[in-house]
Amino acid sequence: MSYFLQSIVDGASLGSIYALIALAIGFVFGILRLINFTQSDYITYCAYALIIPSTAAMPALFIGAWPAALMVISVLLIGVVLALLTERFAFRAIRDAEPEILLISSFATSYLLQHILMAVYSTRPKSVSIGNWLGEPVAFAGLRVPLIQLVTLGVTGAALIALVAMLRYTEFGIKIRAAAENYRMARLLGVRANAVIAGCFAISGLIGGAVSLLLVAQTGSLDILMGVSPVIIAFFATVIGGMGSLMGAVLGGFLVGMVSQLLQAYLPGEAREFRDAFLFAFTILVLIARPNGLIASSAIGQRT
Amino acid sequence: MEGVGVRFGRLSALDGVDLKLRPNSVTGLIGPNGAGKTTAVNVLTGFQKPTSGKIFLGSQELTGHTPEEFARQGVTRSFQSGRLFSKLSVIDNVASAAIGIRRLGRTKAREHAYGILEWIGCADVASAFAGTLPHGVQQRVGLARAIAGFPSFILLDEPAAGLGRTDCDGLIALIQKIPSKFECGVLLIEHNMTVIMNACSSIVVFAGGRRIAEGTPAEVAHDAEVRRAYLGSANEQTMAI
Amino acid sequence: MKNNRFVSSIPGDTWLLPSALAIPLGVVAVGVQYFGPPTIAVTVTEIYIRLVAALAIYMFSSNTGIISYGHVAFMGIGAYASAWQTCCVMMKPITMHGLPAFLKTANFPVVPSAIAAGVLAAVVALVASLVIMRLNSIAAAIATFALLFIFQSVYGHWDSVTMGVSTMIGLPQYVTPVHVWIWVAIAILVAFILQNSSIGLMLRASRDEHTAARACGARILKYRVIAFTISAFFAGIAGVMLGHRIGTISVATFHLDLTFLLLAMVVVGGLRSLSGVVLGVIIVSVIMEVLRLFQGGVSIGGQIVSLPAGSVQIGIALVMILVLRFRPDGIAKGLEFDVKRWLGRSSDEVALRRSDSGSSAAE
Repeated sequence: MSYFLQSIVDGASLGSIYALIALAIGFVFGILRLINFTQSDYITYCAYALIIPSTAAMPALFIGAWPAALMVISVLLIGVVLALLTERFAFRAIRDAEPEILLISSFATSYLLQHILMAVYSTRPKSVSIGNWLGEPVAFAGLRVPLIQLVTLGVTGAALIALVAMLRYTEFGIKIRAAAENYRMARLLGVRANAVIAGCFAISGLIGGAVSLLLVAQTGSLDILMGVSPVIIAFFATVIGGMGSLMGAVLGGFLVGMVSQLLQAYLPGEAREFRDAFLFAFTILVLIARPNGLIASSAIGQRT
Repeated sequence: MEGVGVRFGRLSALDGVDLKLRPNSVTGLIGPNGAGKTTAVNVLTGFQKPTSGKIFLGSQELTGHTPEEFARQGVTRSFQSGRLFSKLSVIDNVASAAIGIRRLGRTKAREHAYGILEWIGCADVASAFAGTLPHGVQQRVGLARAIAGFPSFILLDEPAAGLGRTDCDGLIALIQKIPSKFECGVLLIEHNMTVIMNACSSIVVFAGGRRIAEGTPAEVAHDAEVRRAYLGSANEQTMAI
Repeated sequence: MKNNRFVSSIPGDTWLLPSALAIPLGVVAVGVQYFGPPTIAVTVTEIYIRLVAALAIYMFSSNTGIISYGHVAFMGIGAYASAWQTCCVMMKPITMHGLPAFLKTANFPVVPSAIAAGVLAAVVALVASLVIMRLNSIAAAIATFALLFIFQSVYGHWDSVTMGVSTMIGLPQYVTPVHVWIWVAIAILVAFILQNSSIGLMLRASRDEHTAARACGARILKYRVIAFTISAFFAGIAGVMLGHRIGTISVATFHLDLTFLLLAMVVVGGLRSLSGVVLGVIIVSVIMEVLRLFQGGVSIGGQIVSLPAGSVQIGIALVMILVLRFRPDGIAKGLEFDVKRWLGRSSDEVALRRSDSGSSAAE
């Protein structure tokens, strides 16, 4: 039983990270019909900003050495700035292009950013220690859970609540929702479209920064590809949840995290290694059963 | 179709409608906006599954079949917005119907398509990309594509929408000739009363998802309920043709 | 018959296009293989292998409008399948003990093995596409992406037959420029026939207007499955060639980098024409080689100039982004080489004409 509970906590913690990223992808997809692969670079860049540019395996800390509050704010700010830069220079000029072109462009931009980072820091994984104390296990409801998992759950939970509240109750949030869930409306917003779109990117950059801190604190290491895998899984989560539906993205994120952890926990030993294959096959099956995802958004439906 | 109903949520687009198309003649379908005309075409071509009622072609039931099956059974259509394959040539647009529906080879399909384009007066643009054509020509090509699928019934959803007077008259003259030339029945949806009164041998009137009248143009024109539904208040002047 | 020029689907002279694309490539292949320095031969071989792979993507994506992010997985499937048949017979029982007996203990001739490997890739594609081609185009593209990750997960962990993530060595290195060129020529021909067939026509119709294509009775699912299966065969072949060129394979080769490179080539040249793909592969490859050269350090006027590591990838990404922004239809703009005019004028002017899917309608 406690094994099961443990898996649930693991799943929730992982799922909450996916849910956050999925929400970021959902924002941008909803408003631009753009699957933003550069989301992974927001995460990676923010993480690498913690250290002094170097190719060493144990680099000196840069922002990571600053006082905690300043460090967090700086990292989040870097995420926002990077996201706004990609919006301005990579996507604004082509945002009326066909979805296929947008998809490939974001793939290309992400590849570009990734290799720029690689040129500066090399591909060698690096170890970084920030917040080591977060790895300490704590007793919690009869389970021994690493503190970081609780922090992750807390941070992502708070972020999700804040974002949902923002979407529900602020004027900006309502505008985003209107634009994200009704594509035509976004176009009709006219002049203000720039601000709303930039706002969506800013939020996804913010999320990128938060996720990078959580990931670094969890793993204590940096890797050029550290953002890619969670973003791709989160991206499939938005697909499962229903592209264009923000609640669907959150739901999909949690679902993927849970399924992934439960597969890990309960698949027989040999099959466990193929967990990701099951996960992606699961995505395709969901797509077949519900082509518009679990929560279909009106924006996707086609009229005959 | 018999007793067909279509509901979108609580909204009823068609409410127990009967509609019979006669072979080898042009049937007109008119009604105010939101009367369910396009929904009826969608139902009759498989694009919309009816929530109640049945659809027959001859004695064969087609209810619940896919659009592809409807097309291959001999029910083709045009679209209000044209929906040409903009990056294919005009001849390939028309040939595609013959390939998709009758599985003609490409050469045979093009021969067939060229014949139709000649008849319809668009042979001169056969090699142009469909997307580059003026609106009037696109409407004709859309009509040609519907004819090319060897149909027994053709459903035309406002083919004359947005056309100038001359274009419109020419198109309607062609549509009138379709039954004798291609041996098939035509359902013509049209807003313009003058056009439909002249073109059709019988007319069906929809309003609010119901069939409110059916008959010859003269009968329909003098039907009080039609006038009420169609014009709000009876306006003898406009209806007199 | 005044309508002759429209109706003949493939008039004799339009065969000029595939010939004009394939023959010069063949001449180059023979030239570098028998008369050129070995380093150039290697470069040309690599370009031609990418060409086969890019043509495979083109066969599917140009007709359907669905960009496939999964073809590299079929390259991997092909490469491993060929390795199982031809690699290291001494080691196989130990390193790949999970193989069926007939593969474990014997080796097969390379060419039939390559074809069998392509067929395996095609069969996998057939099964997968029966499922994913029901989706609308953007969801189908996403699903092909999922295929790539499924491949990575399965082959990366299936230790008993793929040796997991470790590199498999000892594949016979039989691939020469001329050998790959034969596959290039076949791929060009098949791509050409496919785009001029009724299948290609109906697929392109549904790409433009899916709803109207349904009203034309098109069995789009079937056509998509056929196109995906055929194209996966050629992707498999490209994978085989890649493995037997280097002599080693590993799962990591068949991942995002290669996917990106191939998509860059297809996009830069233009997804809407055969000439565009050929052009794209050559242009991107040349840019790559030049950047690679500079990255290694080049002496200009007595000074060694060298670009930092990663310049190749950064350069290609920039080229791709710029092309997408300023010329989203690619460098060839969806047009084909006008072979007839080119021959007729015997000048070096390379004119492009509206392809109109291969008919000579524009004349």
